[in-house]
Amino acid sequence: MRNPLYKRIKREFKSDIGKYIVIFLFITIMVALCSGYIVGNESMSKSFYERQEALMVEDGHFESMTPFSDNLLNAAQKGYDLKIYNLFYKTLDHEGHNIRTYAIEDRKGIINDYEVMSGVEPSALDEIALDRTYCDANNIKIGDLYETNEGTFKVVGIVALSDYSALFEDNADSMMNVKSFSIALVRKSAFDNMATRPNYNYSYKFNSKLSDEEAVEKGEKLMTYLYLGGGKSLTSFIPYQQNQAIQFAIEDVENDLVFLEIFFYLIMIGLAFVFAITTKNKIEQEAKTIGTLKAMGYTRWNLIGHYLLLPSIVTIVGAIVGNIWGYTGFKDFTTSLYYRSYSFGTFETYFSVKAFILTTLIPLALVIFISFIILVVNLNAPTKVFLQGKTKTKRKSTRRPLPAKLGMINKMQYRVIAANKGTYIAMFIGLMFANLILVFGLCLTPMLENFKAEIMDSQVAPYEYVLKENVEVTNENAEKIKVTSLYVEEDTVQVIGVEKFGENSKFLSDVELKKGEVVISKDLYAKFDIKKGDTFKAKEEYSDKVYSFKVSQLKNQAGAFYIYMDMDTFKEFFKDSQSLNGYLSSEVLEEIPEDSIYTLITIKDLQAASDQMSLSMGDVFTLFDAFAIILFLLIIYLLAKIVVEKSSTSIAMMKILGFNPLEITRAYNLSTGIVVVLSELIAIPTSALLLSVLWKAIMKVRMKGWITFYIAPWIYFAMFGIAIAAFLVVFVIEYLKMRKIPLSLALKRE
Amino acid sequence: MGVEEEKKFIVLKNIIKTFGQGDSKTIAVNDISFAIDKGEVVVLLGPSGSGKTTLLNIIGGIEIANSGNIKVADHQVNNMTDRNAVDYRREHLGYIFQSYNLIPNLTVEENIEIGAYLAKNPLDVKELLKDLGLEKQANKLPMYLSGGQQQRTAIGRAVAKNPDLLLCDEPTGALDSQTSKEILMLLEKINKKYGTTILMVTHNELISQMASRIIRMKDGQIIEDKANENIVSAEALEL
Repeated sequence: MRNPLYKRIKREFKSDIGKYIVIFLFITIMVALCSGYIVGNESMSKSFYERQEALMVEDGHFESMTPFSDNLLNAAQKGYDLKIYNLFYKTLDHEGHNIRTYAIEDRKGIINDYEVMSGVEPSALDEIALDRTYCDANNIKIGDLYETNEGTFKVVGIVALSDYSALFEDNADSMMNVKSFSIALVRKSAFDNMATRPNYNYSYKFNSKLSDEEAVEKGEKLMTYLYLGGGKSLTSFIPYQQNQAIQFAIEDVENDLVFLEIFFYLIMIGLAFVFAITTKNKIEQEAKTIGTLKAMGYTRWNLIGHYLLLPSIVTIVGAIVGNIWGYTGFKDFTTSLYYRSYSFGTFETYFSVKAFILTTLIPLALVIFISFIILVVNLNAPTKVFLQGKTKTKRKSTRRPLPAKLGMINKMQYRVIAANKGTYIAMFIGLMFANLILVFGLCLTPMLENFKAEIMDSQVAPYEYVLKENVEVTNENAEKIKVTSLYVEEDTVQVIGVEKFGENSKFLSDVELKKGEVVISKDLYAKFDIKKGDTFKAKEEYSDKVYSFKVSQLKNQAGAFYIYMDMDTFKEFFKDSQSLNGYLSSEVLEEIPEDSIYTLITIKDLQAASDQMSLSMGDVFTLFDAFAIILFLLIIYLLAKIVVEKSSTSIAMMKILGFNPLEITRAYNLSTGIVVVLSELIAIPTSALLLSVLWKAIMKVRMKGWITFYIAPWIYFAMFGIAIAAFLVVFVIEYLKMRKIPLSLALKRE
Repeated sequence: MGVEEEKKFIVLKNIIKTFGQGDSKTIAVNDISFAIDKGEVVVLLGPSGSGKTTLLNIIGGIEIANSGNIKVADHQVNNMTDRNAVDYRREHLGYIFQSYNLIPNLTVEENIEIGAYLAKNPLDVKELLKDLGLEKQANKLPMYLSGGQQQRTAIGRAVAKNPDLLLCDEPTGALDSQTSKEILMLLEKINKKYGTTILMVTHNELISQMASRIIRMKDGQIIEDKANENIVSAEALEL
């Protein structure tokens, strides 16, 4: 015979529908959000790599001042087992925007193919296709006329190029530029008709699959060959692995998943507490029923099965609905965040095993496990105890008298809090997690702003030049440097050799260098715990060569990792061929020809980099905030509800005695308010502290680079305000419910 | 309402109370009228389902009669706003239930205090504890008390605010005979000491002997309403 207790399930659901709907909605939203995000993220990532394959993305490219001869290219192709493609481009000017224009015929079906996201590909001489992110940022639509220095074109297509998922104009730029840089496609005939001088860009693809290290090494050898064979006209070389236009976007997508997973784990722990407390409360409420059933011969395991069923059903249904919603609605929302910043092509939705495990199996297992443990522990008391309406054998029977001067309502508040301490502890822990999510969501934008300010403050000179070749400058306001890059673990570190420092330098007056020792920037010591006097190791990326540096000073400079050393030390460590020359300057150095500049960093560039970061991540932060607020409401609502429900007979009795609704609400609802305020006073600083520890750990273990942890002071007040606002919403709901508690409830004889 | 009735403390006129609708409609109280003087001890006597508790709850403002008038002191009980109902219960009523209905998270003393808190001229809580024989239990939670102690606490809570009217719904229904007698003695003492009007619902004929007036009910109607010529003190009751 089926367990007749199962017949109670439907009635139990109906009688406590408010609680179950809230839990169901919470699970559904959480699962939808997380599965949508993970599925979107993984599908984009998978589609990206498939698209790279299908659209024949290059293994690297190089550029020359003059075209290479066919003989040289043929010899290179044979010698290095690869194929080289002409991918010349012309830079058009549109209202100051640089438009890197390619001929369709050079790409289509050959190398670095593209997708037409909307419209069609150009077919006439006066037609042009532009990058989608650029069009979005500049509000350009199909059919618009697009004026350039090469005449007016009609925009007929919006495209995504497989080698430009992020619009980096220069690989040395710290951030892409969707506002004033785009790629464009025109017909070959239109391209040839343009008067603008072409840039002789070549893409190459190896005939066989190579590892990253092999590909870069082979590419470097090829460059040496072309450099020597091509009359030293080679101006740039960017292997696939180091091409920011290809790598940046996908790395960002993959990094975001790290944050999401942490966020998800926090939510799961919060959810576990909610389930623990509601299950415990259920047992306390039904103690006499449990006692009766046990007395009749029902075993503890019968009862555990019974009480586990409903939370499990709610979780499973929530997870199913959430997954459907995630795969349909939320996935598009999360991917739209990436489409806003990056020029990804179309993507296919893939079933994600990770999303299924993380958002469905783990919550289900967690709910069952937590509820099971709570049930096992709380159903342990003898039958007699349950029949008396209790769940524990021993309890302290007396309470210390409260001070006489304390008013009756205050005494009641104190007793309500003491009697519900388990519930309130769960509320505190739940609020702790809600605060953690909230502070995470709220602090990221100001943290990036702070990061931006730090970067600006840290810029050593208004103009920082890195040159492709050695150019001697006579300007007295310029100080010569040498630059190379190394790796500390996974992070790139800029190594800078300086001629002037201390009081002799305009730009590095705070740096005192000793021969054989180095000064490191503050993010480097923050991330790798390197202290003054320590010796640390850095290595070359594609070789086993390791360098040891002794730190003599820590420099307060943020934004990137820097190692400073005097020029003699630099030359001892690195050969000329391993480094680039550069200048720090307070003004533009006219003596340096444009073609010789590898990169020029100004304040503006740094500002653009931070702005782009805020733009691309802003919506994710808002999502975190929204979720934290929902969590606040949910936790306070569920637990306040428990307190009021547990006390409903007492509340009915108080009404009969003649207490007015305000007095009753002060005694019961305001107790929750007191706990919320106290919890917030503890949870706000604690969650901030916890997040700082978590942040540093993420930065160290999972992320490249370093962003200093910073919480703007207003965030503490905002968090408190949000918690109080959430409480007030619940307060009103519970006040109205309290008013509806019938007086007759006190008359029921048990 | 006549001049005589106006002087009465409680006046009920043609009270009708029904529950349910259509075929399941039940008439719990069927056209009941009576009046009670201040300081009287009145017992509503009758078997289960006779409508006595419903009538008590109508007087206490917990249930609302379908028709009829109820006046208690200066309050028209049946047409009160929520606010007036609160004031009415606060100023005039003390309620004692069979199931005690103590606030579980308050100690004995605090349970009595919540009664005192509501009154303009409350009784002294410490003195009450002494009178109720609960001094030693003052800091205990209700669930650790015996049934008699819990009911004494409930009486203390009801009496602490010095009410005009004590409504008792089977106050000894869950107690053994000795404890029941103690509780009834306590009620008798309160009536004598403070002049509190007591309206008590019971199905126990023996208890009704301590009342100054016995109103018998059956099927929602009064079948007998007479003064008790042979009042027996609570102590002498043979329960």
